[in-house]
Amino acid sequence: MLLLALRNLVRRPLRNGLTLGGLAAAVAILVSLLAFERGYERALATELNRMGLQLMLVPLGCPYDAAVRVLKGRPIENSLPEGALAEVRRDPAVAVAAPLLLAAVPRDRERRVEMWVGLDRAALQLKPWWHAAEGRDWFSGDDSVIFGCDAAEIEMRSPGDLFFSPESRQQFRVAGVLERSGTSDDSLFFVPLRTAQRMFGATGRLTAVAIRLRDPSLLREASERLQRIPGAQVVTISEMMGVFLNLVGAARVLMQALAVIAVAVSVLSLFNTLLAAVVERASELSVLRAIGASRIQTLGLVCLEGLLLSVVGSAVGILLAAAAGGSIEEVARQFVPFAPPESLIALTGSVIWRGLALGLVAGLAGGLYPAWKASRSSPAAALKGA
Amino acid sequence: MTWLRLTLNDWRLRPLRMAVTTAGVAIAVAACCSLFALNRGYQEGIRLELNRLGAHVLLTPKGCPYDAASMALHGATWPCYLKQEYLAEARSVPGLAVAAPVFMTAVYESNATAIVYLGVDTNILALKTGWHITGSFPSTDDELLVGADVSKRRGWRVGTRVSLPGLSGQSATVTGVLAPTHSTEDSFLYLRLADAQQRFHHPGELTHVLVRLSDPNQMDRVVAELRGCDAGLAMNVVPLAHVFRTIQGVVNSTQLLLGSIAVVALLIAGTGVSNSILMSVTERTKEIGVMRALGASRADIFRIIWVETLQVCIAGAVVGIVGAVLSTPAIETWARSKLPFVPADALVRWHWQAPALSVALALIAGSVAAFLPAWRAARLAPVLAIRSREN
Repeated sequence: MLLLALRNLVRRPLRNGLTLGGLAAAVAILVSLLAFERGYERALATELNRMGLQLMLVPLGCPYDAAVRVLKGRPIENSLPEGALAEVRRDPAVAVAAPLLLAAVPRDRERRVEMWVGLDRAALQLKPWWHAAEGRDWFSGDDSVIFGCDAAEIEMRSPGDLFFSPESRQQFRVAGVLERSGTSDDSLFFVPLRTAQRMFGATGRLTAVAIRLRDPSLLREASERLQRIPGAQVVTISEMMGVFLNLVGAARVLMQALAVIAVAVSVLSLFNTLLAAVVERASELSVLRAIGASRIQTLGLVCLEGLLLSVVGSAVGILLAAAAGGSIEEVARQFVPFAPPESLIALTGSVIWRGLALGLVAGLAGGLYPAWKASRSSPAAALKGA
Repeated sequence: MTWLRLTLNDWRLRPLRMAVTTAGVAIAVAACCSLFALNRGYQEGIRLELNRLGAHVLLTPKGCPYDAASMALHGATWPCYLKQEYLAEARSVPGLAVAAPVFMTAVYESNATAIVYLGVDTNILALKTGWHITGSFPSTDDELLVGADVSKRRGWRVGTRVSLPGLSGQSATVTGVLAPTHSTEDSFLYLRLADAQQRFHHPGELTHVLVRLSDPNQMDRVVAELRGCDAGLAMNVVPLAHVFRTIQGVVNSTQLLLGSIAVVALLIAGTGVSNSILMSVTERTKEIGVMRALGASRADIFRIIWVETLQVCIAGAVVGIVGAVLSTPAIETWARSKLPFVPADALVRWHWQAPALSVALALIAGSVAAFLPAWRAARLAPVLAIRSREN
């Protein structure tokens, strides 16, 4: 029966090909969206968890806005006075407070943005993955720079090399190159905090202070106390994640709705194709019935054709989604407000199963009526030689 | 015009197939133009709401300014407060026309409906130039100004002595009723600032300050100076134009993605159309052969099939647009539950552009879809076609 169904499909390559293509495109979009949803949430959670942070002290203004600005390589409007750091460190609930100064250097010609980060030693306690693959893992002097592994690859530098930064007109010596960590650190340029402040004309200013508490249960009271520091506000990591997911989520819901509509449209097309096949083969189906095929068998045959079309369509769609995953990810990165460096697209088993299940449902939805119609064909018509 | 009648043949012969094909186009077009309308309504709604505040700059406690702007618009109990001393300091910045302090809080009645109280002083009248008050603005602590909805729902008139909902045992006299503003303000209750602070036990505290500049072009300078003063370190200075720009930026960046998925949906509908016309060409091979034999040129056949395809697309587009307009309330409710920072105004806004663009897209998709079957039909050799087994 499977063979018969297949042969019927192959008889009309153009028509069935078009139907299949439509369904595949719809399923590909839906599967990519589902995969993105999973991947983004997971990558965001791992990125934030690995740092072991509970709080960030940021300048007044929207933290979301600040994150977007950093990402797009625009300067952040506000910064923190360095005095805030001392105040944070005086707080009894704070275990580690790591200041950082972030600056974006746009490289217009190469169409990318270099991110420079000024750090002090406290940062090491918040970055358990910080190991030098080559060279030393801390700065040897004011003019030393440490590269993330991707940054080192792009600049083609190894420890001991000299590195000239045209923006700050300063010669740096490469102290080390970090091991790949799978975080955003991989593409960053690290310099000592003081050097960064001098380079970017921000003496005595900080972009943010990352804070780890002695005990996560102190979160509430600690953030209340820290909120009083003038010129600064406290954001909890869970709040931040909520904002990101919320914004991405809204767009995602709209996109998923559209993808579902695309699938619905392709189901209609499938319905038409099968119905036409049944009408065209009316006499053939009658003959089948006359030589002893039961109504159930003819129904099954046409249903099987529908299912074959839709399942193959979904499979092609999933393959398409998998193949296009890389480029989709690149596009998505430009749109999401905070893109963790890990893969954003998680084509997990459950996503694939859902895609295939969707195909099955689509096949049944589009195939049942034509199949029922086929099962109505009467054997008498064939015998009469119609 | 006989050929035009010929193009309608398919509708008569295969009503179910044509209906299903049309439905496919309709669904895709409906999705496209609802999306346009939604996008337009969202941005327009946010712009209108921010305008209605009547302020250029919002001074709020520390925290996300988007949340703050949303709370100031929709009414809520604020998590933190500003000290009233900051107001005097902010007023010393040159370039401020009006700085209206507000104390806002929401209380709940027994049936869980929120009642939003605002404490304001007469400065607010300089900001809200659109307000028309029947009666007078509260001049003593025992007086109350109410929004139009409140007055209508509870039957409060000027001079009524009312017990304040959500505040057991407290009462006030209504001295003014606002004319409808068609915004959330219609359901707010206004007390004098000091009165509200005292009734809600937050003396000397504000939730936000609405600031109007004497010259909006001076925005950057004034914002910098507000941030620079001592009080500026303890509060957020939020230029509302900036809030709007950022939200617009987020919306715009997703627009491209959404648009491309909508176009793919249309393309899929296009393949459906192409397919269904292709089937009818196959079925009517004989008929086409006869037409050719009777003197119809290849161009005639091509044109008939072409027009037939466009008919399906136009019919689909019209049905889709009507369907989208009819389902506006449903889309509105759905979108409201899914989007962040939802404005109170209508989310789905119809404008001739959305349907026009959708029809144009459907026509383009239709023309592309028509090409394959029309070309196939035109290529048929008359003799072979008449002899063919089909039909």
